[in-house]
Amino acid sequence: MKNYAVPFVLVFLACGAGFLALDYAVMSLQGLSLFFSG
Amino acid sequence: MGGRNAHRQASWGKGLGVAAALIFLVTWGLGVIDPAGWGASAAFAQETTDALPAGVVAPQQPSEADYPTIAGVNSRVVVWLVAQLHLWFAAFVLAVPIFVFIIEAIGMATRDERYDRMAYEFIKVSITAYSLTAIMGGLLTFCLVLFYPHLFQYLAGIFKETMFYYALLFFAESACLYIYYYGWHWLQGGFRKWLHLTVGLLLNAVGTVLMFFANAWLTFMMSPAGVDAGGVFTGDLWGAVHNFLWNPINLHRVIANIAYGGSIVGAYAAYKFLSARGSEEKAHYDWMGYTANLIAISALLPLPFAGYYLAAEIYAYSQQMGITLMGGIFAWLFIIQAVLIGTLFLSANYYLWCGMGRSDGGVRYHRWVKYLAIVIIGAFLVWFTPHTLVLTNEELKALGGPYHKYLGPLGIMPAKNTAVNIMILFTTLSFILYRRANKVATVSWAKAGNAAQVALFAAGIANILFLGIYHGYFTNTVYKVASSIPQVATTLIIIVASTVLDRFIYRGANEVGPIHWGRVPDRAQYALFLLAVAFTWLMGLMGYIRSGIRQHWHVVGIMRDNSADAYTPTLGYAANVVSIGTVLFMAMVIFVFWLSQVSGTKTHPAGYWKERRA
Repeated sequence: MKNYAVPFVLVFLACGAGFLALDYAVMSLQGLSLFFSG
Repeated sequence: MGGRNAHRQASWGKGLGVAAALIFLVTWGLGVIDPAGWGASAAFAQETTDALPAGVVAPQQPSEADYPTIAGVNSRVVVWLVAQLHLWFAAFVLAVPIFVFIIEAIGMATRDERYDRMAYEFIKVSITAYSLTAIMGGLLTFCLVLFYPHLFQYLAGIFKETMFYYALLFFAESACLYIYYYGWHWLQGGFRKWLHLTVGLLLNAVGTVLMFFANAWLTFMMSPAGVDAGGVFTGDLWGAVHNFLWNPINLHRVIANIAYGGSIVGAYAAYKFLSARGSEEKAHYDWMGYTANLIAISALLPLPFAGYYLAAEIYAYSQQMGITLMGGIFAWLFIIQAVLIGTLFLSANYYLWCGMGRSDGGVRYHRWVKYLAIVIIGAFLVWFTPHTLVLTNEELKALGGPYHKYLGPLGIMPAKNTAVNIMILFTTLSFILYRRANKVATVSWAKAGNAAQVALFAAGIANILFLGIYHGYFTNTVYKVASSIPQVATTLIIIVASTVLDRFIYRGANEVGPIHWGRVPDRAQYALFLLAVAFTWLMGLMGYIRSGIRQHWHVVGIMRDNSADAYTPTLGYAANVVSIGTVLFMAMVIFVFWLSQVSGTKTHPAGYWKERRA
C-alpha cells in the first residue's frame, strides 16, 4: 500500500499546485484573477 | 497490364479534363472570354459591370429574377450537395497522403516492409477518390457559374490570381500523386526511397496550399476583408485571403481531415477484414484498421479545441453570427452534433476495448473497462444535454419554464467543456490501457510510477472540475469563457505527461506474448464503420451550419442573397439534405472500395482466348 500511497499523495499535491499555478497564469494573461472578485 | 494502363489513362484523362474545365471557367470568371451571349445572367453581369469604372471589382445585387432556373432544379440544394460531396472527397484525399507519408517514413526508419505495404494500400484507396474529388470540384464550379453567376463573378474578380494558381497547382498535385502512387515500387531503396518520400512531401505541401486557397474564398464570404464597406475591392489580395476566419478554418480543417481520412481508411480495412478468407489476410487488415483508428483518435482528441477556437473567433468577428451559431436556430443542430461526437468517442473507445483481446495480457485490464465506459457515457450525456427543451404549452406550464431544474444547468458551455475534457482524458486512458495490455513493466519503480500516473489524472480532473464548476456557475460570462483555456491546457498537459511517463515505466518491458492480429470480434469492425459514417454525417451537418450562419447573405454584410432560397430552411429539411448527401457519399465510397477489390481480381476464362503455339 505504501508503494502506492506515498507517491500518489506527493504527485497529487505537486500536480495540483502546478495546475493551480497554470490557472492563475492563464487567467492573469487574460486580465482576470483566479478567484472571482466581482 | 492492359487494364492497369487503361485505368491509368482514364484517371489522367479525368484529372486533366476537370483541370482544363476549371481553368476555362476561371478564365471566364476573369472576363478573358467574353461572356456576352451566354444568356440572361451573363448579359446582366455585363450590364452591371458597364456601370462601373474599368477594373473596379464590386458586388452586383441581383434581383430574384436574375438567378437562373435550369430544368426546374433547386439551385441551393444542388450546390449544397455537390459542394459537400466535393468537400468530403477532398478532405479524404488531402488527409490520406499526410499519414501515408508518416507511415512510409516510419517504414524507412525501422526498415520494416509491412509499413511500406500498408502505406501503399492506403494511397491506393485514395487514387479513385482523387478522380471523384476532381469531378465533384469541376461540377461544383459549373454549378456556381450556372446558378450563382453574380457571386462567382464577384469572387473571381477578387480572387482571380489565387483561382488561376489553384488551377495550376491542381496539375502539380496530380503529377505528384501519380508519381507517388505509380512510382511506389520503382522508387525503392537508398536514394530512390528518399526521392519517393520527397515526392510525398511535395504532394502534401501542394495539397495543403490548395486547401488554404479554397478556404480563403469561403471564409471571405463569412468575414470579408480587403474590400470597402460597399464591397469594392481595394486591391489588397492578401488582406482578402488573410481574412478574420481564414486561419481558424485552416487549422480546424487540417486536423479534421486527418481524423476523417483515418476513419474512412479504417472503414476500408474493416470491409477488407470482414471479406477476408485467410487468417493472414485478416491479420493484415486488422493491423491496418488498428492503425487507421489510431490516426483517427490522435486527430480527434485535439479537434474539439480547434472547433472551439473557430467558434470563439466567429463570436469575436460578429456577435450576431456567433449567437445565430449556438444560441439561435442552429443551436439544436449542435445537440445533434454533440450526439455524433459522442458516437465518435464511444465507437473509438469500443474498438480499443475490443482490441485488447489481441493480447493474452489484455484480460488484466478488462475490469477497468466498465468504469471507463461509465465515465465516458456520463460525460457524453452531459455533452449533449440541451439548455432548453422543445416543449408543448402543457409541458412548459408543468415545468414552470423552459429550463429543467436539474438538467438546465448542464446545458451551458462550462458543463460541456468540462464533459468533453473528461471524455478526451478517459479516451487517452483507454489507449494507455490498450498499450499496456501486452506488456509487463520491469523497472523497479513501476508501482510508484503507476501511482504517479493516477495522481496526475486525478489532480488534472480535479482542476478541470474546479474550473468548470466554480467559474462556470459562480462567476460571470467573462470568467466562464476565460477558464476554458486552462481547462484545455490541463488536458493537453495530462496527455503529454502521461504518455511520456508511460514510456519510461514500460521501457525495456517484457511482452506477455505475441500480439494475435486478427483475433478481434467482427463487431469491432462495425465500430470502425460507425466511426466513418458518424464523421461523414458530422462534417455535413457542421458544414451546413458554418455556411448557414451567413443567412441571407452571399458575402456577409456586402452581397445579399436575393434568390428565392434566401431563407434558413427548417432543421428537419436541412438534416434530410445532409443525410441524403451522407448516403450518396457512402455509396460512392463503397464503390471506391469495390473498385480496389476488383482491381486485384483476375478471371481466367477457359477456352475464351485462342491458344498460341510456340
